[in-house]
Amino acid sequence: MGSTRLVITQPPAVARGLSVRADSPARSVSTKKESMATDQLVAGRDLPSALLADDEVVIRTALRAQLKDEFAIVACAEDAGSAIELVRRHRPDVALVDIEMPGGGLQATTGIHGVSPETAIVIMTSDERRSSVLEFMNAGAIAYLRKDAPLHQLTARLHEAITAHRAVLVRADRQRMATKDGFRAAFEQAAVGMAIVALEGAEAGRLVQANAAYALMIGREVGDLIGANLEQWTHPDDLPDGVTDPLANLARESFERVEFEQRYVHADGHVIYALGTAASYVDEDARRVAILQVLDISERKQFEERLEYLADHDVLTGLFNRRRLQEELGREVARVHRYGGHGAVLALDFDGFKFVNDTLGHAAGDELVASLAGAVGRALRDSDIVARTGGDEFVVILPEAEEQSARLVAEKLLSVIRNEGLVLRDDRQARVTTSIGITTFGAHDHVTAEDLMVEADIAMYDAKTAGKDRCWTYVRDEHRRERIAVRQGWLERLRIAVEREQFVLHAQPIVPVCSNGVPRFELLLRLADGRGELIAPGAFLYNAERFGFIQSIDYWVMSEAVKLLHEYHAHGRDLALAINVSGMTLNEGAIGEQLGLLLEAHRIPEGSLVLELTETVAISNIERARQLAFDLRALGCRLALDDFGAGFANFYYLKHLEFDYIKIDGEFVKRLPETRADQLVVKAVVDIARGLGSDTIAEFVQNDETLAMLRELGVGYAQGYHTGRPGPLDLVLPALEATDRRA
Amino acid sequence: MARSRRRMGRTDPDPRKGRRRSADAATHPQPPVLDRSELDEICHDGDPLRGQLTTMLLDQGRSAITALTAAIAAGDATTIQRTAHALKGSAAILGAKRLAAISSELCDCAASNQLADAPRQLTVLEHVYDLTTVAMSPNGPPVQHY
Repeated sequence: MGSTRLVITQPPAVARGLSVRADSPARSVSTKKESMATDQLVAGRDLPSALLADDEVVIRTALRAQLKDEFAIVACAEDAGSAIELVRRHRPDVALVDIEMPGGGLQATTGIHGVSPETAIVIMTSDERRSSVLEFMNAGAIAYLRKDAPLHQLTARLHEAITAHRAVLVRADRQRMATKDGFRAAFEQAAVGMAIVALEGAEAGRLVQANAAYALMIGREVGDLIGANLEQWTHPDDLPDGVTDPLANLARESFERVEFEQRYVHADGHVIYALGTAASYVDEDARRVAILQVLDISERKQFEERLEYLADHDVLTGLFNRRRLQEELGREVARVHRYGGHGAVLALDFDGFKFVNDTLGHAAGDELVASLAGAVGRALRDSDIVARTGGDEFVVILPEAEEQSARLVAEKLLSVIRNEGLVLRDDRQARVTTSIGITTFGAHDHVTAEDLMVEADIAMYDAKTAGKDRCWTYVRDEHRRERIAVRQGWLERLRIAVEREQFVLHAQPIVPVCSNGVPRFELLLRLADGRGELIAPGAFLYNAERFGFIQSIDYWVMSEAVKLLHEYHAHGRDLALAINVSGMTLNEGAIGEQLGLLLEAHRIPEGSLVLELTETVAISNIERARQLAFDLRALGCRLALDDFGAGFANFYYLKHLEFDYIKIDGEFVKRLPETRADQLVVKAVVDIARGLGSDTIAEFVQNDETLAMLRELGVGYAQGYHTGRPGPLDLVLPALEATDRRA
Repeated sequence: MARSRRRMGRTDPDPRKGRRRSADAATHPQPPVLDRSELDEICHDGDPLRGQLTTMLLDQGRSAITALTAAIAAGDATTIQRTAHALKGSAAILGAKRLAAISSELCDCAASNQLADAPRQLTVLEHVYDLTTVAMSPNGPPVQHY
């Protein structure tokens, strides 16, 4: 028999507990019996539709008979596969699924839920093992039913299942709408640029949606972006290829989420650096799309570029810094070693730069450095490399230069600095020159970049020692490494000491032998070693002169002495201080000018400052020294010739320079009472001094007997342990105030 | 149809089981052989569907006994479980409660692979099947309890 259309003239019973029995009014409706020969029936319009899935014909037949009055049985299935297909075709309101059937009841449940989420699934079971029931619920079933349940429970349960499932669908739909609304609000109002891009088909790469922040970032209107391809505003150099394209990788499902950095071109033409993430999903139209979140990181990029620049460049001059110089020099050395050729390194250090900073201010010093850096750069070839490696230190790399050409370049730079090394401030001016050290290297020289920088540095200091404003070429010899090591040690130590003013002054009394007078003291220099120990000048003065620090040290001592004298003078106390000045400082010639500026700022009584000249370094230009001596005395200073008798040049200096004091070397004083020769020498010196209008000071006075003899011989002053040991200023100098704790 | 008819209590190898069953019956009453109300809910007495459903169930039962006999002899727990499960469901929906119960017992034992008692259970099932056949015949007795 063929299929029979089921007509029900009474609405289905939906109340729980309604018992539908054979003689109940609910069953006394006019129905047409359905055929047993086919399981394919046509649903009645007013009844909820149902599908029965059970492999047992008895159960299918019984259920169909039980339900036919209240449900339109649209189909019956014997296995999971056909159940899924029939549900997909008929979309029934409810499907009854046997918990165990061919193909698996669970598979049937999952499949039915997948093809028709709106169909309520009720599983039928002969037992109620909770674990298996829960498994089916998780797969999409809304209820379960015992196969032997009474009919009224069966139909009521099915109606309830349909109602409950519809409520779930409505709720899910509302949640989806709420989520959608929430997403829309978040998307549109987000401060970060967001866009949705199609990943597949003809629309791949085109925007489906964009928010205001994204449009603003690239200088366009939201409306203009919909349907537009991302490539329209992607920087041409950043257009991705098939391998690196983040969206293509998403489309291929190679990744679930990608990060990318790209440049965009703003509508006004400027470049934007963008950092973004993209994740793919399937939208409500079943399209695979990517949601992009994009940040404008242009500021950060600029900051990074600035940092990179600063890592390699000196801020003041724009030249390379020491770090970058070492890299460049390393490359040049490697190139020469590998491919042959040669090169040269020049180390430049301004002469008198510290004075510029101290007297005209650091702003003037910076201005001078910047100006001279520019001048040096203009004097070199494009292939030459210049770096600022310290306050007033520069290094130049001359590729393919040998010694002769390196010297020519050095001479050129000397001239440039000489001509342009003047700085003016108000009515004051200061001038610098430069000392240049040269070292060269070739393919067969076993040197590193570090070695070359040290060699050039040593040569530069040699230039300073020789009188500054000149160049000097380094000569490699067998003692090179030792020199470099020792030099590195003291050089660094002294450099730090000068920078941080780690020197300490002690004082030793110089007492008048015959009469009272202004208290006078010699200031003695010590170096603090950082561990609380003080190093005597004999240990470091040679290297200080060697490496060109002596002028800075002398200037510091002179400055401290002037300030002390000024302070005592301001308190109405008399004091005279003697300081030691090296021949190198005199040779430099700036001391007169420096002292003049100091005395302008700190007035002191005439004659209160005595400069003691030592013979440790020869005065290279006696004429200049004579003029300097004249200038210093004009400023109110006095000069003393130290260690007279110890060397052979003393008489020469006496002849050419005017001194106020002659300090008799201690060698002639310490055994004076018992040594006739010493007595004759001292007597002679006193006579010479008197003849020249100078006074005498005897050093190394160790006892009363010596003091008495000095008095007898006519020496003016005595200095030694007997008359006063050297000590800290606050212990040795007279107290400034009556309440001062010093003695 | 070849099947052995055994009366419970005489041919059971363990007489104690028979006495226990009797004792169990006293404390745990067996379900009825047939609960006609189940069938009545599906179709009334004169409805040809009733006869068709009865025939279907009895045919299924006969086939199940044959299949179970072979499966038990072979120790095939899977077939025993599947066959017994199917018979259980069909019997339950038509009110053949005792047949459903014994099928369920056999199904559970097979599910846990404990087949030692399966032959005895099959014997019981056969007996219950016979009772069900009688109960479901058009002039069969009313609901029977033991």
